[in-house]
Amino acid sequence: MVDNKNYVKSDLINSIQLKYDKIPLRDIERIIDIIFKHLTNSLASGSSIELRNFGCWRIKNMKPKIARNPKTGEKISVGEKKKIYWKSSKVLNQRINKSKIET
Amino acid sequence: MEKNNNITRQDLYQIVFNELGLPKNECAKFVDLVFEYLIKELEKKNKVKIALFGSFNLKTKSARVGRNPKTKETAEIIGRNVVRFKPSKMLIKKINKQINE
Repeated sequence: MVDNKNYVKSDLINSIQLKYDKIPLRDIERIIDIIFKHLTNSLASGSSIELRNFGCWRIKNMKPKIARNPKTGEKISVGEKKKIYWKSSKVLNQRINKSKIET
Repeated sequence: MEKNNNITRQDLYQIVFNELGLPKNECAKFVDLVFEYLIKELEKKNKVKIALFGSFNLKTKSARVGRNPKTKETAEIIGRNVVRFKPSKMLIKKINKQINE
């Protein structure tokens, strides 16, 4: 088993910096933040996001329902809420399954 | 009913263009590279975490027998990897803001 590492935003910024050494690190940081902030704000305003060859995000409205605390059996009413629905693209699915197809 | 806009790569190219002022094709390359890196890490079975947005996680699904609901035919579904996205708490809060207000 390969040891699984977490790839976090700062790693992403560093990887990008290696390719774009003429742009200051702090600018790259800002742009990355802006990109993800834009995605967040778009979802917050109810838009869906579709990034070709990566995947898409959609907002799903969940109706209010009565749920139960599985431990105590107590009834709790859960109000209307929104949920994010994520679907990876076909290309992404193919790429993460590449090793499987080869073997 | 809120309007149903769809955000695409084009929108992101435009944002980078507004911010960096690089030529348009360079901006496209920049944005594509960001997501290319994310995919590369997922290919390596690493977990990708973007603070304040969410995390991408690779999950291995084992093979199982499925059934075509229409024809009732059984078919084996092969084991495969899937990418799961877990939105950050902040993102969940944000999309539910209008309801709570």
